[in-house]
Amino acid sequence: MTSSVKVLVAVATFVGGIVGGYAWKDISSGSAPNLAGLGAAMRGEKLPSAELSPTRSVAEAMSAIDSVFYGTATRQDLTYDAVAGMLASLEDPHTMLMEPALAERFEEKNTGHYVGIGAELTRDPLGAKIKRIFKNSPAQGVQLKPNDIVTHVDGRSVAGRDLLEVSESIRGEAGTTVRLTVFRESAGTPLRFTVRRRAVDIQDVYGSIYGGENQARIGYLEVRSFSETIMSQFDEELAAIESKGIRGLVIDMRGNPGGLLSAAVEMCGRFLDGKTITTMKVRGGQPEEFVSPSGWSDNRTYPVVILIDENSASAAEIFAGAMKDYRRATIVGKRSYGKGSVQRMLGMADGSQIKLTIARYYLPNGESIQRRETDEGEFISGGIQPDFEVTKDRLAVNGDLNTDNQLRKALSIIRSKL
Amino acid sequence: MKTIWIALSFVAACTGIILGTGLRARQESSSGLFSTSELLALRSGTSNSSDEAPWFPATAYYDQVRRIVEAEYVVPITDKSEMARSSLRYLLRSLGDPETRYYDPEQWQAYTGRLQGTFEGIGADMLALETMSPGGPALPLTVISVAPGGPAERAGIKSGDVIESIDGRWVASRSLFDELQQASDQFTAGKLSRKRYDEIWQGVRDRSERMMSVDEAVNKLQTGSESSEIEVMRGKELLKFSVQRMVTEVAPVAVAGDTIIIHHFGPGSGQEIADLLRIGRASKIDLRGNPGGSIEEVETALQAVIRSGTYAQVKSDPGAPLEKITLASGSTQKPKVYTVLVDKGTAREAEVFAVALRDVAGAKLEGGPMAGLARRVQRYALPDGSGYAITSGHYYDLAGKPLVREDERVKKARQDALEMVR
Repeated sequence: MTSSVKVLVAVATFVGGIVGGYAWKDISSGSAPNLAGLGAAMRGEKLPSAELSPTRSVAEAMSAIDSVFYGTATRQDLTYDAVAGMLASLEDPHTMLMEPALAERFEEKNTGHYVGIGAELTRDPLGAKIKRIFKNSPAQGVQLKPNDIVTHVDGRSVAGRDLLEVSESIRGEAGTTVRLTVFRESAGTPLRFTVRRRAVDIQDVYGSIYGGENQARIGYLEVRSFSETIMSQFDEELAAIESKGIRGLVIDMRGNPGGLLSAAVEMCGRFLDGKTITTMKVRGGQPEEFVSPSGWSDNRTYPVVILIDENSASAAEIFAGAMKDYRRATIVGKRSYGKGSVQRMLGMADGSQIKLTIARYYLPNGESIQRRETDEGEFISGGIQPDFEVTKDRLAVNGDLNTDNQLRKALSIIRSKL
Repeated sequence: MKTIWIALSFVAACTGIILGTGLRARQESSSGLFSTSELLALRSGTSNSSDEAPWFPATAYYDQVRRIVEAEYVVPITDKSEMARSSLRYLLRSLGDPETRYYDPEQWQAYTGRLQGTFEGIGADMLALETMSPGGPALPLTVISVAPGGPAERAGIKSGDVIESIDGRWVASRSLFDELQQASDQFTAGKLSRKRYDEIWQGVRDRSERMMSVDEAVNKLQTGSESSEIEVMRGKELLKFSVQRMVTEVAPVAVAGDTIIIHHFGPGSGQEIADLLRIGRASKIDLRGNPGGSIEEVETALQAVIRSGTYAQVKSDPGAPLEKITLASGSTQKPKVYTVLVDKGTAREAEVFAVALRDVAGAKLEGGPMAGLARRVQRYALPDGSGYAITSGHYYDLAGKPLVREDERVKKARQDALEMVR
């Protein structure tokens, strides 16, 4: 090889290196090498960058709005909107910003001091249907009744509104009043009520018994959420119905949005001794196992059916999922919501709160509860699939044997096992 | 000797690679995180941005949340640009102005293309306005004008048509919600049977389950090259069209007899219009379906027919006084009186052009009213190929009459949204 050829080879390798080095970023990321940009780089031009810095972009947009926008906007509101957008990009329904006013109301709700009229609502095409009236509540005082449909709140129609919105508009400060227009099937005309709001005690477990006389007695426990005091209520109600000699138990988790994970694990302990109920995984951290306590199952062997629906979430799904995986319960109803994640609340200096998903739960069989959907909203995986899928009749009222077809199915499953 | 050459080549290759990657890194260095001093500078800059608004450490707050999310969110954040885009999308949309919005790279290309007479997708000018949830969409998605020779025009879609569905998916619309409320009111007043009410409710639910947002719909209609089945409401009639989306290039100006047809005020249009006007054969100017373009092109065109001086006015803020917009140089001839054809598709800068001809040169406007969208807009391109637009003013005519028509429905939707947040 002559030295000129060798020089040529060296030069070619050098140039090849530049080209290869320039395009390496594309090659390593699997895209076609952008060689057109190389010429531009040699001339000192800038390429469109692959990344946009969130903080810089937002700061620049805010300055632009400040200096040119036709209209007014406060920095604070703009920031909340920008943060809401940032969190929305994660496409996680449980990660959100709560602005100060909302954060305050949320906190109040979690301390158990509930102020309102003492009625529990469910969805209805006309507005919101009253599902239950709490004992000794203002709603009971003015003789509102279950199945009444609230169509207007303070004169405004609530048809088509989100249930949360409707209940928020009915709630308010103690001592104030709210005007409700109510549709009652038996009354010919809309009924009007004025109700004074005050603090109401919330009961989360309701027990009753079905059957008797010539049929086996089957216990029924409705568990409405997993609050701090749930286990003492649960044990009390369970003891009360067990003392009447039940041969099976229906645990109703329909509409139960969850709550404390520890309460779900403890509740499992009433039926399962020392079993791993769920595993929690934080990003990059060690999996953490939650095991049900031993010595609390009292040799209960009667059949258990758990009712779930689209609104059973989180702790309720962990309870139902674990009971299903260990074959301790039969699940009836509709596939549950699919919230298998842990949120951290971050209090910010201005009083706002950031709710951020930081971990996921896994069932004993290793599956994640978290619902996954395609971009079009079609189901992929997640939630608890019932052993017997039963769609609730449109006019069914939970706990009412005449209309509650899901409950009837639960009872018939238990009877078939006796 | 041979090993020396191999070593030399190796060194050459390595140096090349280092130089090459360095070149790329420098070229892309325009984005990056803030240094502390930049952050502090921005923070102090915010403190006196407005007299009434209390100081709020906007950037610091945003950046703190970003860092927490990046460190602790259950899955690692792989696409920071999407965080930025989504933030800008929400931020700009929250201002509730129809022209103020963020465009992702594909949309930005289509948007800037439209300003230059290149229409992508079905070839139509549309107005998207969504208030933030929970208020939902503020306006039905309405076609303002169709590009001449474009797919929408050829299919038979017309200005004023309301887009109801695209490929079987319903476009989010406030009317759906209103329909339900109306039915509820009728039902509680005893004018509607429970059965009929439930049917309406079921219908609304079915549609809401297959729904796309107004933003999504606009994006679909103004980009891409596939064909789409589009349902529109024209008056009370539901019409179905099959439209092949494609790029339509529209020349800014055409001449037909004694009429100059101005399709848009894209680059070069001003000079072309001016030349045609100076020839002086035309007596009519057709601005129907003209979606606007740039105010500079409007001024260039105006110079051929109107004297120098004020031709329109602008307000930079709702509470600000009117500012005059003037032409530095203009025609010295006695102005010719034109007939200017306008319609509800005559929009933005085209509206300014029309009223300047009327107010300064005595032109007669025929047709109309115009779209009522004459806003002054600032545009900002971003390094990733996306960008955003911000309305910086409302145009007024010489008499001080606003050229922007605020839609009552928008006001109401925004009020509702605010009320519900409170």
